[in-house]
Amino acid sequence: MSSDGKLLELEDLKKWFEIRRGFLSSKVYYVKAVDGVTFSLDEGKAVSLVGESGSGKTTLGKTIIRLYEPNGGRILFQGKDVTHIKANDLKWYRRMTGLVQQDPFGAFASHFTIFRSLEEPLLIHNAVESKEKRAERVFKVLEEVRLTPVEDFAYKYPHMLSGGQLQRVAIARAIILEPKLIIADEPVSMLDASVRIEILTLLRRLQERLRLSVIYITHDLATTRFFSEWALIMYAGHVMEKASTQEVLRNPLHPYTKALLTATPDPNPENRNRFKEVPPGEPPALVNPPICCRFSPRCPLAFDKCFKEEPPEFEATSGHWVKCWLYERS
Amino acid sequence: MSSETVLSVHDLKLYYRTRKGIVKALDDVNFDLKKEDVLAVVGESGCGKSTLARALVRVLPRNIHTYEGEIILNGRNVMDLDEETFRREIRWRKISIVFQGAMNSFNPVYRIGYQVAEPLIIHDHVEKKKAIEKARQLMELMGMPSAFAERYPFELSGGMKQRAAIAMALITNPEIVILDEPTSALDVLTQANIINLLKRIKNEFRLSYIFITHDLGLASELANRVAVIYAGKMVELSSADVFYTEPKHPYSKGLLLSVPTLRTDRKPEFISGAPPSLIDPPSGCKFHPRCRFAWSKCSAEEPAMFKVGEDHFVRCWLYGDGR
Ligand SMILES: Nc1ncnc2c1ncn2[C@@H]1O[C@H](COP(=O)(O)OP(=O)(O)OP(=O)(O)O)[C@@H](O)[C@H]1O
Ligand code: SF4
Ligand SMILES: [Mg+2]
Repeated sequence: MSSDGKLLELEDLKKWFEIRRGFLSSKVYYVKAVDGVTFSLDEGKAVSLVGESGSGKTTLGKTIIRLYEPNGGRILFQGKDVTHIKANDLKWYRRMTGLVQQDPFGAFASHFTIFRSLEEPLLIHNAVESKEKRAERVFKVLEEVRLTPVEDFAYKYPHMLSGGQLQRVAIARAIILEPKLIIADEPVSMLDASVRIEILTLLRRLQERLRLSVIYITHDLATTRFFSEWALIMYAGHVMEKASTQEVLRNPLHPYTKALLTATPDPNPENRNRFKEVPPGEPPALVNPPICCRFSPRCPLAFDKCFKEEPPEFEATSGHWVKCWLYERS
Repeated sequence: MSSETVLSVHDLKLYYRTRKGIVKALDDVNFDLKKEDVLAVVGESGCGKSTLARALVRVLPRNIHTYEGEIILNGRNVMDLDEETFRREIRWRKISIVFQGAMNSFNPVYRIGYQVAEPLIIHDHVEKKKAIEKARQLMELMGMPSAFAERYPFELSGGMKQRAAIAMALITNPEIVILDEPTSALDVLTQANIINLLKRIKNEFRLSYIFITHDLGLASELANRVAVIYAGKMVELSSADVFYTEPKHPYSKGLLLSVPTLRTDRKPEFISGAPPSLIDPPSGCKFHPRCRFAWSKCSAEEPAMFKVGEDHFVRCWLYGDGR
């Protein structure tokens, strides 16, 4: 563990996918899904990765836990470089990280009981030798995610559980090897509105109790508020803004973040009496994206420079970074 | 606004037949829609929102068990019409629909302009060229470059396809448009743009909408009336102004409190438990297993829709007689 409490550090991390257009063509293109991401996450803290579909947030998540191999940059975990680790090192890293995905219904083998599905990672990683100890561990995580009485749930099959309950099992499976980092990729977007907050609250409690670090991937800015310390706003493969969640929501700086906030409605009957001022257009394709600011084609405040050069990340106020030329100090 | 009633629904039911039993997807639904009203129909996944849409335009799957009630359009009960008359005079003409997932249901081998024009060509026997010209104009009004009419679905973004789906629903000049989750697969900025568009064309064409969504924030962008559905039953029907400030039904209250907000400091809360099965729902009030206020009567007997104010109805014993 590096001395300053950082669990995870990303330095200019890149993940590009190679595509060929037409099978006779030898020309190679890249989809620059994650194109230079830098941030660090302390032990026991949560960061929200916010972005629309195609912004690269899922790819970033999968690259961090090394389901993808990065094309550039570095990933440090507990101070150790894990960017290109292989074999046993990678296996260790897999144990230290857990993933909860969007679709709880597709996450489990239908012919396995919940018990069996939870025991599986213990078997694969040879984590616990005896059968009794494994059962103990399975029951303990079921307790952690509040699927109680645990004996009732352990021997059920996936189809017998609701989406919310299955997502708790997914969380249980993600923490059963006692990892340090959890990636939760849109963990509630397929759940009923009335149970979403329940799952997010559960994740938050586990984060605090087990001193987990959590990367919460979402398209819904409103859910970041009570569930993360930090927020990263992604657009077209770039991190446009990063700061504490409070700061991003209270004092958004990037024109894209501002547009997101304006566009996200709170329930309020006065909304029907006004139009929203949001930029038209759509995100750029990530094959040959604009070499300047990727938001410039839609940005209401764009000026000359925005169409010519990609802005670096400026630290507008202490700890609040924004990738936008408006914040360049002259 | 005391304007004319364009649609009036009485005791509408739609049950599906399945191997596991009868799914009471929609039961005893009653409401009125006035000219230029937007009625938001809100509720969680599987509560019966799309079933209501299907029942209103009579686009039904094969496994129907029960389909009954009254749908009164401009004073006429269209449930009495045979399929041919309904198709000729009602569907698309009076009441049209943007189906859930419409933007992904375009036929990949036809140009978008032709598909938008299709209701005119098929239902009104308008000449193809003329119809496509009308489609092109309408698509422009929806904020699409008219050249997009020549494109195939795969050449358009989700937002553009959704605009085309809306144009298609409008091409026959209907009075009522049902919008079933018209923005749910789109990103937030595109969603806001489409909502702006829906507001604009509603005013321009003096339309009434039935706006189906699971998102209470989004519902408030358009609705002046709100209907909450839980397990196939309407549990609250109210003006939007009253609903968003003082919802009455315990489920409506819980649902509103579960929505995280950006502009207030309120911490969202959840309703414990999950919505019930529609094959074997709980006795009495279908919400009673999750309700904080439930007492013996709630599991014994199903509450009716009680009137609690001007045009405000709630299906809950807390507001019943003799409480
Ligand atoms: N053809 C069908 N046969 C049997 N059951 C059906 C059929 N169509 C829908 N159902 C069931 O009827 C209930 C209501 O479905 P419906 O599609 O109306 O819900 P919804 O409120 O639109 O949900 P969502 O928010 O997910 O779109 C669900 O339980 C669903 O599984
Ligand atoms: S009828 Fe009873 S159980 Fe149903 S919502 Fe009202 S108080 Fe709750
Ligand atoms: Mg539906």
